[in-house]
Amino acid sequence: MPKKQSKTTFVDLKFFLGLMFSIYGTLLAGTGIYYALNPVLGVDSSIDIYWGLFMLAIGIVNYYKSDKPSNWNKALAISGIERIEKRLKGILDEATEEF
Amino acid sequence: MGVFQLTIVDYLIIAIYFVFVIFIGFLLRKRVQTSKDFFLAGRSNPSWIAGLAFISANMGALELLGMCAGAYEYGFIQVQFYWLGAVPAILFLALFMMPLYYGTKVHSVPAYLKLRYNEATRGLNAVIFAGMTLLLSGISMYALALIFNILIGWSIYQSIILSALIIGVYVSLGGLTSSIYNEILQFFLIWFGLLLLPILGLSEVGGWSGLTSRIPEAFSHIWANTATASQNPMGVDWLGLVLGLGFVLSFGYWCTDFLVIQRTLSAKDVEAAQKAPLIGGAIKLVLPLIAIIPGLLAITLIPGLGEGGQSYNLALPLLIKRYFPPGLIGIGLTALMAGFMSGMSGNITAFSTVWTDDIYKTYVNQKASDKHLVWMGRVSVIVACIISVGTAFIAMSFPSIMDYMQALFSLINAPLFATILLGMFWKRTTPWGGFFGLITGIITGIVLFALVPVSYFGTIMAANIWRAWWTWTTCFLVTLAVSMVTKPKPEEELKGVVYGLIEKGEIQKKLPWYSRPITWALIIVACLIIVNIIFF
Repeated sequence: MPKKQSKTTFVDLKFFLGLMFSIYGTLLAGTGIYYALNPVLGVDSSIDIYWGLFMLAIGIVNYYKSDKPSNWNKALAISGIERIEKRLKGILDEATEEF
Repeated sequence: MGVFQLTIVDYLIIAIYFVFVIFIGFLLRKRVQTSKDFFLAGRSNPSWIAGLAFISANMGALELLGMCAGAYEYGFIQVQFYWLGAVPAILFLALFMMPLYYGTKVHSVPAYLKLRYNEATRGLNAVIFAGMTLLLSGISMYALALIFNILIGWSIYQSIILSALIIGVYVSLGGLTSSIYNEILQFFLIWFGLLLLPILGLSEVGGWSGLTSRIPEAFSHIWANTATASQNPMGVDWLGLVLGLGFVLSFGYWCTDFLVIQRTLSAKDVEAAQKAPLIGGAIKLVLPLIAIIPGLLAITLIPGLGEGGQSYNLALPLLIKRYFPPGLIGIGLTALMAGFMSGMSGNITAFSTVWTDDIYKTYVNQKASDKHLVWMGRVSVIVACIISVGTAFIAMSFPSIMDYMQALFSLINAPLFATILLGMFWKRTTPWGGFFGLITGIITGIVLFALVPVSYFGTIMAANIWRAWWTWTTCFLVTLAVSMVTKPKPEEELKGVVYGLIEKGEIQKKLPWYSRPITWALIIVACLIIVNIIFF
């Protein structure tokens, strides 16, 4: 059963946040390590490393807590069934009232 | 050649961002099936998503660059655009106006005007608002191109077309949902891209006390030098600030501009719709950290801006250049780009909704099916992007885009606030009172803009503030006068549309005290008072 948020929004935003921050964090930390090993005058590589690792940590936490794409279609299907149920219930209610 | 020399990692970071925003649009395409999905994101968002989108739609890079530049030019008093000029209006919107906007289940602000007043008022507002969003979207597009031309040497024309293309693709595919999702990604990118600036800057200058000791005394207070206009660098006294900025311009924008209200209408229920602006208001309290403090830091760290052709707008980019190594420069630039794109996509989605729902469906094709409306929404996004390319070139011809924006708000939003305020809170306001008040307010603004020179008011900012005040007052008085001599709507038709005619418990559930919007609002008010005292 997908989590509550995916059931209502179909696509979990935390998944994208997690993925994007993990990629950016890795890139930043990697760049920092590169410049630490190959120092260039005026480039403070430690900022890239610390901030990159921080972003990576945020990214991993969000990714881990997110609803994964494999559940999104289930959520869509559940929502579709709910919509049909609601519509049928509406028709039934109208018919009952008329009757 | 631009200010920055980008490395391959910086380009990679920018490219990844583009891939993400377009990918989200494609992913949402098949999930957006009805007009409610496309224009209101299915009314399914929790308060935090609607709240972050609410504030992100306003947090364009114009805002970031402009506020930072303003802090450099005028000092810490610039923070009033956030604290006095946003937070009280946002709280008013959340507590008093959202139950009506959301409870009436309208798609847009013009649709509310139809419910409250008449078709003529809705039509007038819809057409004017649609035009304004296209002008504003062009401004954001031009500003983005300008900054990328200055920073990394890209051609202005290529930048305008590239940004129009990307926004056109992701908004036309996923509608408001796509726009909101991207706005939230952009929100976090902006914070992660810029938060290091005040941290590194303040540690270099010796903290807040070190900073205030290095800048002129008048630059470090927000109220202490406002007894007369000449005492502070902004040239506006406390009365002008409170009436013009704190009341008319601020309430006119936050309480009536469909660009921001559309985000709150995407909330899943009325509580979430009320909490969304409150979350936005809380963020506005801390936003000066990344938008104002860097401007103050730049006064001492990058002296000489505003002289010899060096624009104040360069304060933020030059700080990025000063502190950020390769990689982080890419993140910082992506944050700026994200800011522009969130502002632009906000205008495009608002235009698309008003065009499709309030103009096309009402006046052109009244029998349009839901599927056809979604198609029209997608087409209107593409058309809006193309028109915005044109309005971007109009924006290029103005010396100051920030003044151009404020002038538009003083002409359009200020009178609209009077119309909506009276409509929501005085049941005697009549349909024709609303219509004639609105049109007279707008005409007054145009006459003042065309005939009264800026020199009469002193500065451009003072002209915008006082023009907004007069357009609001005219609209308010004319609406009152016409309402006294014309027939109001019967009370039955106003149930749920006017504040006094909502039945208690009709749209709001009983919530525990800590979860009630009023509790959240009081906490924000307390914080607002505290920061005003600290930085008085």
